[in-house]
Formats: sequence, C-alpha cells, structure tokens
Amino acid sequence: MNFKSISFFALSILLLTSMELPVALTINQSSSQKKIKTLTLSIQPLFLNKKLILNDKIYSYSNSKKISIETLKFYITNIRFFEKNKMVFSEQSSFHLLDSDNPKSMNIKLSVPQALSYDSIQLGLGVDSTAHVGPMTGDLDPTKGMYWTWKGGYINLKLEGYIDGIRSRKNEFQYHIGGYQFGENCYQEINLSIYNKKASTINIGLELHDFIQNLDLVKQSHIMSPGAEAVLLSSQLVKCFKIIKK
Amino acid sequence: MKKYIFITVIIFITLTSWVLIEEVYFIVPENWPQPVYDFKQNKLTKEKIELGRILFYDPILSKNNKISCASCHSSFGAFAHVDHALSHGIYDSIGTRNVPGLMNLAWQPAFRWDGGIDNLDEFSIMPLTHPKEMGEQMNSIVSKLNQSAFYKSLFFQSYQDSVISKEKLLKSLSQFLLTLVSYNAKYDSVMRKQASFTKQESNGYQIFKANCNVCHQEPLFTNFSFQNNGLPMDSTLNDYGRFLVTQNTVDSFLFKVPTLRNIEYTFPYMHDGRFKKLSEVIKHYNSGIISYSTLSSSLQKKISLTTNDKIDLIAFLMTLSDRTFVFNPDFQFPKQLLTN
Repeated sequence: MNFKSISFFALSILLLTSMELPVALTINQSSSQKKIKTLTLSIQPLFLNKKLILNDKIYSYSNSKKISIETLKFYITNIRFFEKNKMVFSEQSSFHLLDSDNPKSMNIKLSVPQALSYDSIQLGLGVDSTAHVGPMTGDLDPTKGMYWTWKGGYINLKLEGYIDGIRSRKNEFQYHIGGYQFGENCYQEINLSIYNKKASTINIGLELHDFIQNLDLVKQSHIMSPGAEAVLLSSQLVKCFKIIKK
Repeated sequence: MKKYIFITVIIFITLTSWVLIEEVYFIVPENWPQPVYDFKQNKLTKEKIELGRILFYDPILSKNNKISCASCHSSFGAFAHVDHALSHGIYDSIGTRNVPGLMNLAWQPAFRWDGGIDNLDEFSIMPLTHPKEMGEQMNSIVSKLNQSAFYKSLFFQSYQDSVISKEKLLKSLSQFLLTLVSYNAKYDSVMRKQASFTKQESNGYQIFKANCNVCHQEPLFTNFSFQNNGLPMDSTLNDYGRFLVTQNTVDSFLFKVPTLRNIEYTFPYMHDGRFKKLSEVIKHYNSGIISYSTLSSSLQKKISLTTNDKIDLIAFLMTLSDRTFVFNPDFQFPKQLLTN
C-alpha cells in the first residue's frame, strides 16, 4: 500500500467519525410476511417436445441434419405477473442465469404473496443493459462468462454444439446472442398465458427444435457479436417459449 | 475547538504528503523475483499508463474500427477470452490458438504460446496486424491516431510532443499492460500469513507441490519454459508449437507453460482451448498423457491422483483467483472513450 492511499484512508476515517451516524432503520415486521408462498418457474429446454439431453444425444432436424447441443445458457430477468393486463407482482432484482449443465439453475424460486391472482406472466429474455442493472454480483457476476464489454453488455444466450456437415472446425457451431445499443438491442419479452393458476410450479418449455429449424447453421456456424442477425434470432427465440401443461 | 484544530492538522499533513511523495506505479510483491522488463527505457507515468489503457479499449486500433484489444482480453476474465477455445478476431474470424490471460507480464521473458517474441514493446504488433486478430497495418494505425485531436492531446500530455509514432504507441500500450499485476489471491494472503488454507485447500497445495510445481513454479506459477504436456495433436490445427519458431525438432509440440493464477476465470484451457473445465485438465494429466519423444521430462513419471485428490487440487487452484485483480476499476473501460 502506498502513502497516498494510507493518507486518504486516514482522512476518510476522520471525516466519517465526525459525522452523525444515521439511526438504524427499523424493519417493518408486518403480518403480511407470513402470507408469502414459494412459486417455482421451471424452465425446461426441449427438443421435439422431449427433455433436451446435452452432449451425447444426437438429434435430427430438417429431415436429415444431425445436431448435438453442448452448451445452453441464458438469462431470464424482470419476472412480472399480470391479471387482466394489469401488473400485480414483479420480482425485485430479477436476474437469473440458467445453465442446462446445472439443473438447479433451471428452477427459479419466487416469493410471491399468498393471495396472488394472475392470468399471465412476462419474462425478460436477456439482460436489459439499457437499464441500470445495479451491482455486478450474483448471477450478473461478469466472471461467469456471460459479459462482453461495456459496448456489448451481457450475452443474453449462449447456444453451442456440433452439426454434421458444417464447414467449421470439428463441425462446431457457437451462437452468442446479445447486444443492447441502438439497433442492436436483443433484449426481448416473453408473454405467456397461465391456465392452471393454482399450481405451485409453472412449467415452461423452450423448444429448441423450433429455433434451430429456422437457422442456417451450416452456412453460418458462428455468431459472436451484436448486430442485425442477433436481433433477428432473439425475436425468433422468444417464440420458442411455451407453457407446458402437465 | 480542539477537535477542529486536530482535523485541520491531519488534513494539512495528508495534503502535503500527497504532493511530496512520488507515486509508485509498479510494485514488486514481497518475495517475488525481479521483473525482466527494462523499466528504465520506458519509465511508467500516470499519463502514459492511462493513455495505454485508452488505446487498449479503443477499436480505432483495428482495421474496421470495431474491435479493441479488450474485445478478446476482458478484464473480467483476467484478460483472457472466456468460452472461446480459439481466438476470435476481426470479421468474426477464428485463429489457431487460445487467448491467454494478461497478468504479471513484466516477469515474462517471451510472449505467445511459442515464445516467438521476446520483448513486450514489440509484442503488441502481432495482434494489431494479424489478419485474424485486429487486421490493421501499423502505419495506418499511426496515421489514424495522428488525425485524432483526442489522441494528439493525450500524446502531448504524455510525451510533450503531439506527433504520434509507432514507438510511442507500443510503449504506451506496454505501460498499461505492465500495471496488470495480480498478487492478491487467497494464496498470497496465506503466504503473507494473513489468512489460512482450509484443510481441503491445504491438501490440494501438497498435491500441487508434489506434481505441478516444477513447471508451474511459485510465486508466478510458471517457470516460463516450453514443454510438451502430452496432448494428442489436434488434426484440425496441426500446431507444432515452438518448432514453428526454432525449426528445431526437439521443440516439436512444445508450448509455453502458462501461469495458473486466476485460472478459475480463464477457461477454456490449453493452447487450443480444448478443455472447458479444470476437471478435464486434471484428468488429462492423470490419465490422458500420450507418449512423444519430446514429452516433458517432468511428465515421464505417471501422476496418480484419487478422486478426492483431484477435488482438493481444484480447491487449491481456486485460491489463485484474485478478485481484486479482475474487478480493479483501474483496469476497466476508461470513461474518456465515451466522450471522445
């Protein structure tokens, strides 16, 4: 430590001690605290309506093309509940990084009011970097590999794997979708109607077949920066989320 | 009243010491060797370090003005490129080797995986001009900078001369790179006796010392040598490593020993980024090494680790993570670029 920082530290301590400390805030222990319940959003990646299996499983799409998925990571943010188009609940600091490699991360546990009544939910796909996201901690920790730079912001979704016949090294494809600046904003909202309003788990499927079907992965094996393609893919991605009725 | 006098005196002392004591921009951490970089021919100054940082983050250095050094060297990944097996440069082109983290470069005698460049000031030319990295020509960068009032002013503040040359550009970049010193991991606190390892980390440290320490020598966690670590050759790359520099067959498949500091953040691993997880790396050293005539002498004897040993070793490697380094605001995007 150098002298400059030591002296700065000494000065700060002095200034702090000469100030009045604020009275500790009393926490409002209202009775409504008891009326909280846990609601789980379980997001399940699917391939042709079946649970997606990573790595070894080889899937077919577009008749005969073969694909296997190695990585699927994405952000679900700004979770909101609606009733008759009016917002009735929104989760605070709502940032969740979902990683198919980590099944626990695919279940988002929410604390909602016991009496919450809703008919639809809205989820953000990706991190809306145009808004202030607050401290870069927890799922927003930039060392988790989902952050580009100030210019690119957060990566909303990573999808990586292998495709037969693709003209890339080891038949590999890598899609890193994100971007927040003007003309490059990939943040999207998913709106889903809820039928079973009493269930303690809302099951949501992400049908990857529908997404992959639209891609020309053989021609374009990599998307790894913000731009028009990433924006187009994001708008297609949100359509692949659906409520699974169990 | 006494209190105010006291405060005034303290403020006075603080301010005078601020002015009188010369700022030191480079510290050799306790018990570390002396750096190899010759600071005499490129004396660090506040202005030059800051200029280097701005250049590091400015896409003006690339051919299409879209990517910067920081595009592939993210501070949050200890200046490596997380999740990219191979370097990913201009026009989304993919290179042939993994992007190494940038840290403790003042101690590093040679750069690149094959050690092809031995001077930090010359090193930056390679990524700036490589067609699959930033793809620009040095003359063109210098002329772009000379046309910028923003840079003319910054170079003037640093060098008392607003004419920008290739040498000044490279030395300024080096200034910033030299400040990227990582020495505040938990491991360092333990060595300074300010913290202690858990039982698991401690066991991992013993395993490390018995099996890895010859090449990944403390405190820099590399001896900067070139070794063949027994990886099967990737036929999509056919990379002969150091042989490409020396043309000597004894150097076939030798690559520079990388530091293990901040390894938690610098995935994927190896010169070609073939392993995504540390467990795969350890599995390789435990059971995946294949025989070569140039195989590292340190790897001739088989390493046999139990499942628990492997977990403990990873726990030790996690103590090399330096969060003060990856979150150091002095290393992050400089705000001046936003207003430029």
